[in-house]
Amino acid sequence: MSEFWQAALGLFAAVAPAGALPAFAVLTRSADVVQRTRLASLIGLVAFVLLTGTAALGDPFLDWFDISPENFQLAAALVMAPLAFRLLWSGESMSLPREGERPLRRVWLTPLTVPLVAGPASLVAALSYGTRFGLEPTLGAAAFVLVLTALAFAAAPRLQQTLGTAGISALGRLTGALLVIVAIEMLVDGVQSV
Amino acid sequence: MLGRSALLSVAFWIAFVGVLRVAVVPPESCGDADRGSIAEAAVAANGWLKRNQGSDGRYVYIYDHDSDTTSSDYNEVRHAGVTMALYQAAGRFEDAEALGTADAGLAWMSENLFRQDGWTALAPGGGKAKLGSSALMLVALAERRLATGDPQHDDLMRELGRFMVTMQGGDNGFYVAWLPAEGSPDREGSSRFFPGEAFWALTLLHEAFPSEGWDGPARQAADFLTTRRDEVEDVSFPPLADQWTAYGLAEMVEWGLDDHHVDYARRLAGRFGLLIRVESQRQGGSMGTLLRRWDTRASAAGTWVEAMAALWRLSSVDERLADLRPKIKERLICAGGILAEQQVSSDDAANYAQPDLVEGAWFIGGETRMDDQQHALSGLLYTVDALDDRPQREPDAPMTGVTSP
Repeated sequence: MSEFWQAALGLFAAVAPAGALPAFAVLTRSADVVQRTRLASLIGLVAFVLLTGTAALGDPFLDWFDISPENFQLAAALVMAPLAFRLLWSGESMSLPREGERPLRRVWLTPLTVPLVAGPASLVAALSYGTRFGLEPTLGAAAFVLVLTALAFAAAPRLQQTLGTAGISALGRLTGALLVIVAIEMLVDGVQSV
Repeated sequence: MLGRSALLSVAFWIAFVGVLRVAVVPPESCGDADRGSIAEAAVAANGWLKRNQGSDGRYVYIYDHDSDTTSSDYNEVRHAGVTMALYQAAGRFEDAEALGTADAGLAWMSENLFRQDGWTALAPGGGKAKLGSSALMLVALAERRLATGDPQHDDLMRELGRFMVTMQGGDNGFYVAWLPAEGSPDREGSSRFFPGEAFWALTLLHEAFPSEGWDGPARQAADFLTTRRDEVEDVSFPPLADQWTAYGLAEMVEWGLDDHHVDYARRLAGRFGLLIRVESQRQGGSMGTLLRRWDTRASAAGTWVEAMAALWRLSSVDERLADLRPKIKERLICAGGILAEQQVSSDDAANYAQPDLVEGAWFIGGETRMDDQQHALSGLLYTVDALDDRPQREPDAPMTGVTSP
């Protein structure tokens, strides 16, 4: 598998659009199509800036912290584990908000962008792939995954209607399984690397 | 409201990075990882070995600086290893005193040989002739030959080589010992490291006498070690961290390695790299020590350095491993720096009852064992080579003015 596709698969599992979809849908239920599309684009754009910034700053960050990329990979795998098990267990990236409706301007950054899309798992994945494969494939992979995520968010009501709650939950659980595999691959690579 | 959200995000990330830093990835530290400190540490380790030898040619085996006592235990495999390291230092530093000390160690081994059917093995007291001690004796003789150019022990080298071949079984592995009382090999015993030692010894024998066919059994041993040994020895976390095999493969690289040898060398580099990374995290601060609370003997850390140095030489020649070369060198220098930092300096040694038994040594729980200095010395010598980008292991030229004992 090429470095681009490896990074794309890992970032897709870490961003987990299917797992994020229910929370996005609940928090944006009052939005119309235009608002939802704008919001999805904004979230994708800000998340892209965060992920690529993290990937670009990976080497100096690790240097500053005296951490080798190989040891960071072990840590990244551990950081991914909670989200992976949460997805496997519930099919959702975060618990659905129980509180009353909040205006979109209060939720688009936190929690919709951070940590729902740009969370610990996706950021450590971006950093790890950035140091492992270089910036170019990681940026491409992040753009690809976040475009998919933004499209899924924009079409959230339609997807929920088509797939149903059970279908989306199943997709979330599948993403969790994928994230487990990605975390194990990172762990094994971190252990086997020089 | 954007301000509150942003503040929450920032707080989240500060907490996340803090937890990551403290609990998951402590900082890595490589001690005194500069050429000067590493070379000085090698000289000091060589000094400890030269100072601490008895009149019978045996070295101080264990010394405890808290109780100021030495141990009456001894181990002939480690004796041969220490002698080997001294010959390496003699050749590298053109150190006649190290050569004299090693020759005295060789004399003790020569008094404890067992001969049969044209082969010779080291068997102190007429007891079990362990494969490892004879293998390392052969390596020591090969190192002496490289250091001095003196051929006086060539026949003994061949006799020890014939013992290696006699001990090689049908699966290309090795019996671990010969039982003189029974006139047969020990078919029950097992050793994880003796086969690697025998392998390296055979490769050096071929290097010394290239037309005599020692490369055949050496290649067979390489095949066993790289494909079957971990399974036979039931290694739970393969590949076994065996620096002897790394030495042997590095010696063989000029003859041409097979793909499975290269694959194994790659995995071996990963294993030693992991060990060094974890150790460097343990050195990186109190939290690292707390989280990974165990002590590492210099004899263990020294073997990591020896292995990485051998794999660096290998990767410098075999292009199939060229991608690993910078990382291997980075880890090698890091581990060398850790060793240099942990060695007892002359100033600190002055605080103990017998500074000569403390200076230049590595202690754990107040105790040092002679192979702590042996492995560290060998490893540090070759770390200096890597720092100098010098991928050949042997000295540049034999010592001049060598007088045979």
